[in-house]
Amino acid sequence: MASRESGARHPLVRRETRRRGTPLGGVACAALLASGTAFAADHRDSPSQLLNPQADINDIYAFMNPNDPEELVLVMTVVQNAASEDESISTFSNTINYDFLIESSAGTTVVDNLRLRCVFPSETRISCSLGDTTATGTVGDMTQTLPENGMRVYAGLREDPFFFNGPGLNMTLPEEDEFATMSPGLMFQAAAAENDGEADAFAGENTLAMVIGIDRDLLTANQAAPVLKIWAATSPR
Amino acid sequence: MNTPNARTPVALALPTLLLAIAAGCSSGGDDGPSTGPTGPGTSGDTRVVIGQIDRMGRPGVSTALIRTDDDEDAYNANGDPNTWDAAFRAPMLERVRLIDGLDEVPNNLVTGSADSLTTLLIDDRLQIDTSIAMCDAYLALEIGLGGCGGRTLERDVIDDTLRHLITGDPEDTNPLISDLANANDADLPSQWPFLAEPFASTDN
Repeated sequence: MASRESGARHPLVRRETRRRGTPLGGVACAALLASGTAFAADHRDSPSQLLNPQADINDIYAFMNPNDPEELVLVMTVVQNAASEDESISTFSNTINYDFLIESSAGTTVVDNLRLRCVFPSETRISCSLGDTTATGTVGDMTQTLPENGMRVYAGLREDPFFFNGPGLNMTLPEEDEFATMSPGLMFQAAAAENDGEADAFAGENTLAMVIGIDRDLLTANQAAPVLKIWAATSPR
Repeated sequence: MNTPNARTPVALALPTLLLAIAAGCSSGGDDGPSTGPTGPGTSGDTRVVIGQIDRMGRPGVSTALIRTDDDEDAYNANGDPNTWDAAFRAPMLERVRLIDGLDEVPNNLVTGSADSLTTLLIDDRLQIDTSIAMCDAYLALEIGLGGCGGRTLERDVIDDTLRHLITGDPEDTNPLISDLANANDADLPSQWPFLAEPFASTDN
C-alpha cells in the first residue's frame, strides 16, 4: 500500500475544480462552474456534477474476477478526492439511485435489458438489487464471499484507481481549440514537470467505491447471451 | 447523509433539496431499491433512466469528446441510449477529427475513419464477453483485440484512447503518444474488493 507524501498537490487540476470552502456569489459561482470541469475519466465532467459530488460518477469498471471466471465484477466510483480538504464528502447519498444498466446479447440479437440498482438506506448500509436478487452490506465491510443467490457488494472509501495526466491534455487541447504547436507527448511532459514530475494528477486521491460481484449467469441467461453492454447512471431516488 | 458543511455555498445545497423533493415524490421505500412500473419510459423501464443526473460508460468520452458545458450537461442527463447518436454525433465527430489531427496525419484512427470511431464511441457503454475469463485490452471486443473486453482496474485506458484517436495503432509504442501516467499509485489487491485501501491523510 503506497502512502502519500504530506502536502502533495496537483495545482493544474485543483485550481480549476476546487470549490469547497470558497464562498461564492451567484455570478462568481457561475463563472467558476463554466470553467470548472477538467479532463478526467468522468470526474467532475459537467457543471451540474460540480454541484452534486455524491451523484458524480468518477469511473466504472467491468471485469471477470481473476480468481473466479464465473463472477463478473462491476465497480462504480463517485466523489473525486473524497474525504479530503479539497472535498469533505465521505459518504454516499441516501437520496440517489446508483445504477448499472446492462444489455445482454447473443450474436447481434439483444436478449435482455437489466438494471442493477444500489441504494443506501442509511449512512452505513448498502442494498443492491437485480430483479429479485438482492445483496446488502455494511459500508466498509470487505468480508463478503459470493453467496448462493449469486451477488455480493462492497461499499466504502478506497484509493482512486484512476491515473491520468489531465493537465497535460488540458495543455494539448485548450478551450479555444487552438491546439498546441508542440507534440502531445511534449505537452504531457511539460504538465508533469509543472507538477514536480508527477504525471498522474489523481495520485494520492481517494474515492467512494461500490463493488458488486455477480454470478454471470444472472445477467446472461445462463450464458445464452454472454456479451454485455454496461453503463452506469445516477438519478434521484 | 452528510453533515452540512458550514462553509458550503448555498448553491451546493440546492441539488440536495431538489433530490429530497424528488425522493418524496418517488415510490421507493427506505430499505432497498424500488422497481416501480415497468412499461416503456416508466421508472421501471430497465432500458432508460428517468431524471438522470450523471452517466458513464467509457473513460474520457464525455470529458474529452464533448466540448461545451451545455453539451456535457445534456450528455450526462440523457438516459436513453437510443437517442445518444442523434443528440451528440455532430459535436463528438468534430472533436474526434480534431484529436486525430494532433499527429498531422488525418484519418489514421483505429477504426479507419472519424465517422466509424464516433459511431463506436457514442454508444458509450463498456462491452464485455463474460464467457472469456481473461480480461486486459480495452475496447477488445469493439476492435477485435481478444480477451473479455470490459475495463480492468490496471489498464492504462488513457494511453489506449490516445492511440485509438491519434495514430490508430493500439500497439503503438511511440512514447509521445502517452500521457506519461502509466500505472496507479497504489498496489491493487488481487482479492475482493480489488481496490486499494484509502490514503490515510486528507490534507491534499
